[in-house]
Amino acid sequence: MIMDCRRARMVLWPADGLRVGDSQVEEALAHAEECSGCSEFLEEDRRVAQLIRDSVPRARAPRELRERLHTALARERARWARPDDATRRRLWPPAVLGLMVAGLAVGVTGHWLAEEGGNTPAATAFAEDYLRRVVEQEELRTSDRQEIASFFARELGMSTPPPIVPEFQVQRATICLINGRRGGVVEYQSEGRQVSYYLIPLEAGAVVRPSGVDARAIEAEVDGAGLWRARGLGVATWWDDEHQHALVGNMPTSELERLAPLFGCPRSRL
Amino acid sequence: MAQAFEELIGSFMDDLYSAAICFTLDEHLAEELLQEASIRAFHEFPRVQRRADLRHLMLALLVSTYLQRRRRQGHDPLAPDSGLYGEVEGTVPQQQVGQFPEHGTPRYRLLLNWAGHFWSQLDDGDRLVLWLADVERLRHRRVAEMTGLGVEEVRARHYRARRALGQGAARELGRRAYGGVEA
Repeated sequence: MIMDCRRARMVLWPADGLRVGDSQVEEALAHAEECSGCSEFLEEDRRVAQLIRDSVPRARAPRELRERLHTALARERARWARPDDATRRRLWPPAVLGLMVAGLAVGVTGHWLAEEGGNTPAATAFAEDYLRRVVEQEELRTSDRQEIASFFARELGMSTPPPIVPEFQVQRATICLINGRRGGVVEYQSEGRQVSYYLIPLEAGAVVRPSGVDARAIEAEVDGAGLWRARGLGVATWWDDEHQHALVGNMPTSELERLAPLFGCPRSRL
Repeated sequence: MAQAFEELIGSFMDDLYSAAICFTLDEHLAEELLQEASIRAFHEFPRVQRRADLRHLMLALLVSTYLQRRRRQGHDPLAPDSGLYGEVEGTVPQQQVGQFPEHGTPRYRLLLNWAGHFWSQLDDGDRLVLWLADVERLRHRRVAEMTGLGVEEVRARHYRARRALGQGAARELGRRAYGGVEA
């Protein structure tokens, strides 16, 4: 399809939005770079969006409202709890039995997993997510670190700007799902090298594993209409008190081990 | 989640109250709306896993409570609207471009003051969509899920609201420039 002004504006509006990076977007961006009318249209749209956000009428919830709300919730909690007391008395023996069985199952599975692979399942999960993303996952294009921080704050409840790492430029950000946990992924590029940095918030109360960097190579044989090929992926994983981190890319593990502290250092996020 | 429900919603209270005032344009109605949505959220809370999910849930319940209340009163803010633009316009009003003052300048602050009042002049449905898309920065698909509108209608309403604000701002800047009220 020929990319004219009308089409380019439809594809690129809203100008400040994160969008799926596909060939249509690439064409529209290329058109807008060459077309002063479209550049102005998009620039004006960005300014209007900024004005909207800056002009938002903000109000503080009155103290009376907070107090009233606490009272209403306390009443609701009491009303909700009372009928349950009787129900709980009737149901607790089977419920406890069920919990014991479930606990036993989880314990046995956890023990089996620990025996079976240690950290390997986590590394494999990151490698699988990386490969899936390369060919099919939605990619959100922006190099604006603050925009990514807002995106993560909204989607993940963590207001963490992606780290600044010398020589690496931020390309995209998106959301991933690793072993049932949602996290953020930021893709970086440097002189033809690509690396994805994963940041997965841990649940409150989760047991934190040792924080040393574990780097390993994953040989992933991937098929799919000739699109995926066997490749040696490097995956480095480590933990801090609140997050699991991972770096994934076509790099030797020694290089990932060198880069991991640069991505993990809190000062790199300032 | 270890934190209590009350403690968690307390941290979003100002944001949600601001949203409720923007939807209703009335402090008293905003308080009622927030109270009703909070009680609904309290019952959903056991299913919530993370703090970000609770904020999203509270916002969704605030929107749904607002729409239910207005519909019960015989006014649907999101009633089908034949005046919607089908797509982003192919023309750009050239006279607006380049007139926006720089962020932080006195002229920008004057424009902010004007824009703060402009919110109340928007159509109820457009105002709701504008808040969700531009202030909450939800994607059109998420706004559509939250409001029950189609994605294309969300996009059209969002575009109309932004365009109205952009054109109004340009008029305001022109009025100030020609009326000699420059700061």
